[in-house]
Amino acid sequence: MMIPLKQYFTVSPSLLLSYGNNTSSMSEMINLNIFLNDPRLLTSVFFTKVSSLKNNYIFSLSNNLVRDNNILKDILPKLYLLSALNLVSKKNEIIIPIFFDLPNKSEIINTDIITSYFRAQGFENVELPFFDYYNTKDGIQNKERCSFFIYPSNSQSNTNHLFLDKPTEQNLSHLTIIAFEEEISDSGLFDELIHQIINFAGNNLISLTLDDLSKYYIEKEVFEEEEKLWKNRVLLYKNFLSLSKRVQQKEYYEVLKWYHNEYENLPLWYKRFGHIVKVLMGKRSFRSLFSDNVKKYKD
Amino acid sequence: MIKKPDIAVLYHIFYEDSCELVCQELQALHIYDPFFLFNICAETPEKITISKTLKAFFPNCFIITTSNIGKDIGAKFALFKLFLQLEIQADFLLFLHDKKSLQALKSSTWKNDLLRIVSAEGIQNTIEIFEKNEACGIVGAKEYVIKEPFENNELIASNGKILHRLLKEYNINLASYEFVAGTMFWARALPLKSFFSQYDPLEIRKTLEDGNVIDNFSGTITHSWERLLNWIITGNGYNIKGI
Repeated sequence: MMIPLKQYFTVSPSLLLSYGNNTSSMSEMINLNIFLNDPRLLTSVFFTKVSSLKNNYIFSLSNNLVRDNNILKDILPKLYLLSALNLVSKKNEIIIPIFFDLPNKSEIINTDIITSYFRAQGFENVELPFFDYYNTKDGIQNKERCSFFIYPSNSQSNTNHLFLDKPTEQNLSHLTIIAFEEEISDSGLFDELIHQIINFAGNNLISLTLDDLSKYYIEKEVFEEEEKLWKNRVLLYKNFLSLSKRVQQKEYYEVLKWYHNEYENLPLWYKRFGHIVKVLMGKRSFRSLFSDNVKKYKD
Repeated sequence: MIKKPDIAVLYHIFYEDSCELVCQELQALHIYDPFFLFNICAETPEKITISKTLKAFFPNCFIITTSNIGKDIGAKFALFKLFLQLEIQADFLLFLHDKKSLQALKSSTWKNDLLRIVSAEGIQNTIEIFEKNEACGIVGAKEYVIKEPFENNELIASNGKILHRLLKEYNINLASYEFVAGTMFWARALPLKSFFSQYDPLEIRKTLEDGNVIDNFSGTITHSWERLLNWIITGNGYNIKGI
């Protein structure tokens, strides 16, 4: 089984808000899966809280939010803003897991509304993996780039599934969402469970070298993305150069045309008289009226 | 004690090397304790570094990352949606971006002129103008308060046709076609809040062009909205003052 190191721990908006302004007890290293199941929770206070997070996060949806097109249309701009607030979206791709909280497998969810909305706002790659909250007996549910796992309340036996494999090129971008059997509303309990899982992971990660971690896990991903952006930036500046030539050529001819219309069209006697006026105003040297070899204007 | 006005700054960053300059530019605003909302273009390298720098200078700022749709105008729509979502109570808005316009002959002076409005003196002048003149809706750099060419009941420049369509579509009636070129200006928040509560800015953003769009050769929806952002306000009976 390919299991990544990227774990996203599930929190509800109310749990997130219960941390108040003090999120120091929650490690910044923890990735969060913010599970949204009630549109009324998408308040200004919630947005302010999300904006202040230093953690990486994704958000996931309950199927009751995507089942009703009217609710969906109302929350789509908010979901987009949540994505925009998340610097993880720097890769211009986004994963929004959808969880079925009812064991109704025949339900068909129209995800086109979500993908087309995000595409119109410039997110070309939106993945919407579906997971079933009621089908966790086998441990992990796997979708293309995302897995879902429920952490048992009483036993840690299943956690062996979580940290088996080394990170590789193939599972680099894979993420695992970890939820808990019962919704946690107490930040103390959440911290304790995270601590347990992280400790367990730490013991199992000991065989990985730091090189493995940096090579496959963090730096490589960031580096590749930055490299791509810089390459595009070089192309953009090249484009600016050619564009500048076209724009400035146009502006040059516009200035010439303006000069022709404003000055060159005047009769010759009028223009010559104008030069005498310039001399009288001290803006042109008197001698320059009779010789081309003297300085006409002051610097 | 005189109450300080509530200000929100909506700033779009596109260039990878402009962040420190942005922080310097906004120094004079700190005493007003404004809300800072930044957008960093998704195509900009070093976003994480930029974000950390912004958070260090403006600890309570909000930062979003959006794709390059509609250049700074598209970014301002996304920022305005965020402004509405956060329910920020502000009297005045300040629209800014890290303008370079590398293709233009006058690019080096353009930005400096436009930034006069964020100098300590410029801010003070602006607030005085707004407080003394209820009819003033926008304050911008005076050289850049220009009129869209209008002849025989027609807007005749390259964006004319698009502008006519948009004015009709959004029911905006104007007495003057003045606007601040460069989209860096102060504005009263009320008329914009009222307009964008009716018309979702993210829906408008969808209609803008992708990428490095310019209007030197033909009209664009993006540059038309550069004008309309002003006209939403002046269409409500407000005027523009240059400083």
